[in-house]
Amino acid sequence: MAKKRFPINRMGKFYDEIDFGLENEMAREYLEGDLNIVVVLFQVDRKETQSDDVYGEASAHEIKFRAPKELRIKLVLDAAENKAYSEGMNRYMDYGQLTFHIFQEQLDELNCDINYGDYIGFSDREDNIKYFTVTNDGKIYSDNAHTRVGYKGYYRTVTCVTADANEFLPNY
Amino acid sequence: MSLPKKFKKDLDIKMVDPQGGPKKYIDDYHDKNKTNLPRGVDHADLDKGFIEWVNSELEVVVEGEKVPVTFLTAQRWSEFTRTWQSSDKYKNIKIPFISVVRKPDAQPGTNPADFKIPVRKTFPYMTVPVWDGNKKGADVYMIPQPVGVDMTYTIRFFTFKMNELNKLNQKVLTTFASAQAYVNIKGHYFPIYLESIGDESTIDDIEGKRYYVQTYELKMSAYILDEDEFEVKPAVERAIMSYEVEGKRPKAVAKFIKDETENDKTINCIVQFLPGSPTSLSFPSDTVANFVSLEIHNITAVTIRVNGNIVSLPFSLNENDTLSISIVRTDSTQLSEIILRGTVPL
Repeated sequence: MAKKRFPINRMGKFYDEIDFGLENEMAREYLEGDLNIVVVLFQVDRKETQSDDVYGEASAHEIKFRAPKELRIKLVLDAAENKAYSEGMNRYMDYGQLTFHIFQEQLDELNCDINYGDYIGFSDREDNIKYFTVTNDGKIYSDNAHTRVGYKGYYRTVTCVTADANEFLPNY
Repeated sequence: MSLPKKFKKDLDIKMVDPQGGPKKYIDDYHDKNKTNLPRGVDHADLDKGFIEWVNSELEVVVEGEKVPVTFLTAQRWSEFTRTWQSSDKYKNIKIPFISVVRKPDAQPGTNPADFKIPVRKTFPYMTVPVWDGNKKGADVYMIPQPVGVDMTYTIRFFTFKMNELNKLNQKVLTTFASAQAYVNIKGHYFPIYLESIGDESTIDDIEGKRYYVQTYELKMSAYILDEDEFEVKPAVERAIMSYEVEGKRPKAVAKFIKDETENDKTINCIVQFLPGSPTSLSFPSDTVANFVSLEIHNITAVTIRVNGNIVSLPFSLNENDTLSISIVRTDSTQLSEIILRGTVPL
């Protein structure tokens, strides 16, 4: 049974689905063709992953994920922070928060989705890939900033923080 | 009919190590306890002992690997040297791990058994018999009263999982089920008390890195003992008291010989001093005599006394007079003889 759909008629006098599609096409060409910043999505397979009965926790080798997907995105990586685990002791320096924007159409075409807790790999150098975990999957993207002149939302903003090797180690 | 013998395939052959066994244990014991004095303990020993205790008694194993325990101080490079083995490629220590931090301000001891004696002096600890090959004596080992100190440690357990958090928590609660645990540091037993259990987890930060941090504050009621203050004193004066027991000494012999056949009745008094006998002899006279000559053998000098008065030849001797003869031997190993010749009055 087909999903119930609601036609969008707002701003119909000067903007419609054809305009929306054209602008999306040009924007995606710039983002996915010209910028070509790639991250890898490791979508956790929630059925196959073995987790603890009580706490629902899983070790790195127990987390199963679907086939990795390469996503082309617009990326903002905050500066690395010099921190301490407690009271100035156990210093560590880790990557800053990763924020990226991605066209929903791209996810639809790849037949995937980004969910809270999924993992993102970003290769910042030829010999290094850093893994992040999704803290905000941006599934609600209907605000003004994420729409084109209020017509319809078309991209998602996803934020991630670093994932520890104890939590995620895909050998990708 | 006898049954066929089977081959025995599981011979239990035990190798005997000639170097092993109790003797080696005793040697090891003596090697570790070269003196009868207690071993000194200072702050560093206490810290080291506490870390070893945490490593052994509060050991947590996660996925087959022991969770590392690091003792941290203020020096940055020191922190790195202690954590690099369990760090990732970015040189950050990997979670899970346990860190131990000691409060720098070690406080005066509050152990009830730690009496405060006003004057710092040493007390006898042990009396050890000694033998130097000739003399037997004893040494008293003196030590001062140990100085009580309270060391407070904060153990933090960093982990991502509640499961792992439970493991350490269970260990701690079990260890301190009897209110206190004991640690043996260089032969000294110190009690450890669980002061508090806290939580510094960052799980409320939805946009940040989230991990559990559980804190355990432990107080060790210890003491410090400085080996430089130990003293070893001899217990008794080693005087030699020796006794020399002499055997039975031969006595000098005196004998009067009267010749009754002659008219003038000559008399000879023969006195013999055997080797080892005294060189003087006193004896009462039982006759009256006039001595006129003297014959000596192996004698250098002779002194004759009658009733204590020195006399010279000729001299008379009455009955019951005491005749004393003192000589100086020429050869003390030979018989000395003196012959007094005289007559008995008619």
